[in-house]
Amino acid sequence: MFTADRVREVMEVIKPAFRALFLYGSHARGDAQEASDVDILQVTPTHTAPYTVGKVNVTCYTLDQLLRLARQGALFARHLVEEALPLADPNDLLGTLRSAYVSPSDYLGVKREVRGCAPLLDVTGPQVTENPQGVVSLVSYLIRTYLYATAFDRGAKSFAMGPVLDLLGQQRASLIFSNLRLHRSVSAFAEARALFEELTETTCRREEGSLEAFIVNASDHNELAMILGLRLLARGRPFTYDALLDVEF
Amino acid sequence: MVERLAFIGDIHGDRGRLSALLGRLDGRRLIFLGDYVDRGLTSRGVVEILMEIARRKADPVFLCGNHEVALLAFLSGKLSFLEYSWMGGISTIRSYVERAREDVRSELAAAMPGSHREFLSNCKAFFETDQLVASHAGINPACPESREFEEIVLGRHPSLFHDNLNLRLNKLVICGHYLQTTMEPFAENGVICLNTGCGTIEGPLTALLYPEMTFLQA
Repeated sequence: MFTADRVREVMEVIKPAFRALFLYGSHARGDAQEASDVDILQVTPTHTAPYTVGKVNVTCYTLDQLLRLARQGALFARHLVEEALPLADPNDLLGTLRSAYVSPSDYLGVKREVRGCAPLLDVTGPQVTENPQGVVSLVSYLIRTYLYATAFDRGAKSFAMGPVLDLLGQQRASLIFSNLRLHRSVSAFAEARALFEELTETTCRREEGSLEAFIVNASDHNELAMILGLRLLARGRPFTYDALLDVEF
Repeated sequence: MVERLAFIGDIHGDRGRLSALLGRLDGRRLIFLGDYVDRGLTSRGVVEILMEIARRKADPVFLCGNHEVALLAFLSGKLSFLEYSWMGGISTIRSYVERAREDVRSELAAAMPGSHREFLSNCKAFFETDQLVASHAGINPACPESREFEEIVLGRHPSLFHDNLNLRLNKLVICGHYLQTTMEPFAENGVICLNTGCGTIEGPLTALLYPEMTFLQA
């Protein structure tokens, strides 16, 4: 139960400005554990970086971005349409999203894109140690997305991970996620990467000599790989337009 | 007699729309407002068309946009791959480099003809007559006389769309840069903005016909 006190706690950490706030994920479904993070979607007037305060993860999208995802039938849009609870939504943006959402006939395209991200996981132990947050987030995201896409194509009805893993016979993934969250170690990452390779029947090997080169080559056929690659490269740093103004002429 | 001009807004790597619009601008002096590259998939093709115009048309003007600056800054090492990517530069790299292997910057530098780099380096900061001033980012309403590169090419002046500039400047301001999400040109208070989302949000490429003050889109 997401109590009024919890809502107040969330509201205290939200950065201005927002057009709507939604709770989604395990707390919205009502199957959260004590250690579960609180997932919030903040609909912002302009492009805004995501942020985390304690256990509250805030993902920021503009309405235009969300509508695009809804029309594409993206998994994240399905997540919101089916499970989100409005904490603040004066203009019924959730209703707008639900109207715009187009359910895809299958998730084969999503699975293809995720498989195409395999070279992003071609990282060495020292690279994991240098950027544990980025690498762990990446492998977790890719595995979860692949599991959800597979499960929905087999008739799953909810984003609750437990039933998804039961349906796919992949209960061990739960332990792998837990290890990743707790340890963020090279061995936890290696274990997760092995699971990714097994699930997707791919090998995490990058042919290009640099992450930049992979991103460029992926850009015209795999937007997910390009975006996740740039995020990995950024290592949590915000992108800055203002860097341009420092250029000398 | 007033010279017949056509001002062309941000192209952003959309060669198809540029070709379609150019066919309707015959007999006019062409003034391009910058942002020829990035975001759209055919930046190389756009630069090739512009260079062809420079060779064949009467005295065209190519103004510099912040994306030309970004491309040149990336090539010279003053902008990182990540920063240039954020500007939409990956599609420009892709349009020149068939398959990236390792050092993307040097591979782009090797693949891009020197004539292209020279063309982009020679773009002008502004175009001005007694009646109008055109630049990529417009002018700074707080300092309307300034023609400093940082102000009129790289600056951001959202108040252009609020202030009643024609009272103070007595000149028409023509710019691109500021994305008009309606996909229609902005034309109020002596300010005209022609960035209607070409190459960015699948918007049209827009031209202003002068002195008729009518718009064409492709």
